[in-house]
Amino acid sequence: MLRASAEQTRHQVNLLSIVQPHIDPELAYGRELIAFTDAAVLRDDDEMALARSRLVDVAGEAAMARASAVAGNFQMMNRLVDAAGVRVPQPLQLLAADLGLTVPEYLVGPVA
Amino acid sequence: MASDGHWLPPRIYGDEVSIHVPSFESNTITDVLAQIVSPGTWLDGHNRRAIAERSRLLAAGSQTPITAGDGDQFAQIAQVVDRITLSAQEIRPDWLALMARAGVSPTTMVEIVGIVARIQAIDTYAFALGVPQFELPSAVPGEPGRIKINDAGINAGWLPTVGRASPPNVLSVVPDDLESMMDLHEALYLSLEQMGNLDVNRGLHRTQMELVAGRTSFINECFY
Repeated sequence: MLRASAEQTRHQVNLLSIVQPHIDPELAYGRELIAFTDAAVLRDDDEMALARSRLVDVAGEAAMARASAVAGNFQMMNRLVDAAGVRVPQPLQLLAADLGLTVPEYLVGPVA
Repeated sequence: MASDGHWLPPRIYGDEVSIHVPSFESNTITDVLAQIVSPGTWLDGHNRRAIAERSRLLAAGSQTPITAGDGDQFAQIAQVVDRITLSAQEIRPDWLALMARAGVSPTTMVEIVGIVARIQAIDTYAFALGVPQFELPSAVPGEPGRIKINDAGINAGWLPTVGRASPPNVLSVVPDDLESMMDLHEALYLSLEQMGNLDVNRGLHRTQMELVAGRTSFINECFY
C-alpha cells in the first residue's frame, strides 16, 4: 500500500527506508516517522520521548497521534496474519524482492 | 476536558504538551476492552482477561509466572499467549498441532490470537502516545457461547477461517472478536471502505501512514 499510495498521489518515497532506517525516506517527516515507529514497536522508553517530541515539533500532535495509532494497528495485524499463516500475495512478494527480502516458502507455497 | 474528546492525565514530552486521546479512539478502545473481558466463543471472561493481562505484562518485559489459581487449562493457554505476543512470526503448523494435542483447539487458538493482537495494538498506541495504559475492566461472568461456524475450514492458512484466509477474516470463526477487531482497525487506522482511498489524510497522509505500517511490519518480521 505504501508504493501504491505514493505512486497514485505522486508522493516521492524511498521504499528502502523500510528495511534500512539510515536511508532517507524522502517523504515529509519520513525520518521522524521511522524513528518514532522504531521506538514504539520496540518499546524503547529512552528513545520514545525524544522521538515523540521530534515528530510533534515537525508534524504536529495530530500526526504523532495517528502514527501511534497506525503502529498499534499493525502490531495487531502482523500477529493476526502470522499466527494464521496467511499466504503472502504476489504483489507483496514482488515488493519484498525489491527490498532485498525473500518471502519464506511456507508463506507462498501450496496450502498445507 | 475538550468538547470533542477525552483528555487523559497530561504527560509531558519535550516542552509542555498535554496529549489528547480523540473520543473516537478512546470510546472504541473502551468498547474493545469490555468485549475482551466478556465471555467469548470458547473461553470465559476470566480466562480472556487473564490472556490480555499476561500478554501486556510480557510485552512490557515483566515476569509472568503461572500460579495455581490460574488453573490447568491456562498453563497451556499461557504458552500460546507467550508465542503470539513475543514471536508470532515463528508460528508454524507443527507447533499449532502440538498445542492442539495439549488441549488448545484451533478455534480456541483463533480466539486467543484475537485477544492478544488487540491488546498489543491498544498498548502500543498508549505507549507511543505517551499516555497511561488503558485499564482492563473486571471479567464479566458467564459461559462462552460455544457457537461452531459450520462452513469454516483450513483455506490458505493454518487456522480455520470462513473462506480463504486473509487479514480481514482471520477471526471469522469468532464473530464477536472479529467485529471488535474491525472496530479497532477503523479507529486506529482506516475502515475497510477507506482502505481503497490511497489519498486519505487522517492526521497523516496515507503514504505516511503506510511508511509507519511498513516499518512496523519489518520490525515484526511480518511479510504481509
